[in-house]
Amino acid sequence: MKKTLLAFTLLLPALSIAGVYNCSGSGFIIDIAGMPLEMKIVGNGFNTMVTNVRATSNFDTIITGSTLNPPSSLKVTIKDSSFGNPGDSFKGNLQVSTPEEVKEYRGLNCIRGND
Amino acid sequence: MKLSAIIFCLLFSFAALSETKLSVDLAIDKLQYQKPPKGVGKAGSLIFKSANVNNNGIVLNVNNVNKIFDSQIFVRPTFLGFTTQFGDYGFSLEPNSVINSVNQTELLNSKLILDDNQLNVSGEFLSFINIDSSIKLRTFRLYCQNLSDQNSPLPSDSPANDMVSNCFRFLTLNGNYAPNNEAAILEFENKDKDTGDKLFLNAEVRSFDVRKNQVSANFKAARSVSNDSYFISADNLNLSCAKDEDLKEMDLNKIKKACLNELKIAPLKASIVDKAAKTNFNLDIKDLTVLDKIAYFTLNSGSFSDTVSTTTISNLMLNFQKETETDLLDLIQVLKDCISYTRLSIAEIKNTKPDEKDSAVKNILVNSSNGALLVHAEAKYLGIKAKVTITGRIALDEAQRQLNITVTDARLPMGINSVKLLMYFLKKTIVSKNISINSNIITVSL
Repeated sequence: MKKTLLAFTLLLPALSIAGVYNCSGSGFIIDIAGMPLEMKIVGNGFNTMVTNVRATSNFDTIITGSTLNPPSSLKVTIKDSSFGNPGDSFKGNLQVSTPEEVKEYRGLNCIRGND
Repeated sequence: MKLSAIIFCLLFSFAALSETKLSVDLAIDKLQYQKPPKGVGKAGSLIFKSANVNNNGIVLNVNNVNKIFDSQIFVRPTFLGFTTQFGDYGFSLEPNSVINSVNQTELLNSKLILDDNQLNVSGEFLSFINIDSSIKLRTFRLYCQNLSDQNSPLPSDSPANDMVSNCFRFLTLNGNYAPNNEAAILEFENKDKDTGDKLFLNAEVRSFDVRKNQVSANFKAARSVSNDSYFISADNLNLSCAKDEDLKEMDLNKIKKACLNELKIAPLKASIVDKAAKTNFNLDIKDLTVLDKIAYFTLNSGSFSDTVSTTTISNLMLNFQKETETDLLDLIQVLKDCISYTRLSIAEIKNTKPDEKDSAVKNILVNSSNGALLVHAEAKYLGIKAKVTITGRIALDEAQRQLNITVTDARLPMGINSVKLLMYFLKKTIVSKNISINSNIITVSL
């Protein structure tokens, strides 16, 4: 039991930065994983996996996708054009586009994961 | 839905490119477009605040701070060009591009987001004006979402077509141009090329939603005018109806057919005014439902006025057969179905004429089945309450646009059984411009 707990304690920090990015702020937690590319969004009425996830990198890294419940199209813009090193932190924005409005959430903090 | 395609194509046309990955985020102050004569030449202007475009990896982020990107539009059948102070840019168009079908359009103070997942356009004003039709939207938001996942077929080489097909599966139109703006204002005008019939529709749209197999609408108010003489108006119109899941293009007949075969309209008050015939209907509708080939119509009350009298109806319930092909807006087709199967009950019909005593018929029940007709009613005549049962046949003369009711049996009060006596009383009471009686046949002109 002790060994399990120890293993878990050691694994936890690694798991928390697993994936491509982990973004938080403005009431959201967004986990982005690669291979396959997946995104999960929690907060402000969302608690769902995002579909149609696509990533592009130009001046920034941009990850887009959509959700059905609630219906929305999402765009996470991470101010990291170079896919920095694991553990690096970057500023991010989230655009939530819905039938009701287009809302911009600024000041997300995104930590680069291991993927 | 065509709207979304046109907005998209008008602003950007990338159809000529081999890959079609595209994202657009625009803030537009004013776009004016007028197709030049012969389709070649100056075509308007574009004034915008900012543009963020990623077209197959070519990224353009413009903040048009000093208006140096304000553009004049130039068009050819296969090219859309923009000229600015600093230089020119432009896009190739497909010869069959939807932009070539646009005659005139205007967009004011609007924001547009378009990418793989969505079209989201909100604005103060948008218009499309063609020779025979026009559509105008004020203080609106239009949102279409891509419902397909990554396992779905790959996007076609036309982002416009892809977005249109998305809009046929998930579209919302509402007034969310600004917070607390309750409704979008929609104006639609059309002149039928064949008949010359004119239609004008004005609606305050709280929401209009297209989903996979359903269309629903919530209008704060709706008014229509046909041929400048036939006015229909309704407040708080809520309706939902079925939609063909595979709908991929704007096929009005297909949309109408699916909708009229599975329809639900919530309670509403409506009025219909025919200026030419000088008639006026006021309806307090409780329910209108079409389901499984039966139409259900319930009226709390209604009144019908012409130049000489007013007829009021209370508590009407009508069920009738509705064949799949029947157009509910075509009276002849509806009557044809009604003759096959109808159940009608009306608590009271009252007729008021100036300088005459009111006349009323109560507890009316009408059944028709394959042309056989049975009517029960209670009428007051000379102060005496009289229960009447009429049996007969009903037939529709489509060519003459006439309904012919042949009375074969009539049971009158005090055990009297006389068709002749019934026809005598009916001649005194119901004969009018549209209703005539000859022997035992009542003819109603439609």
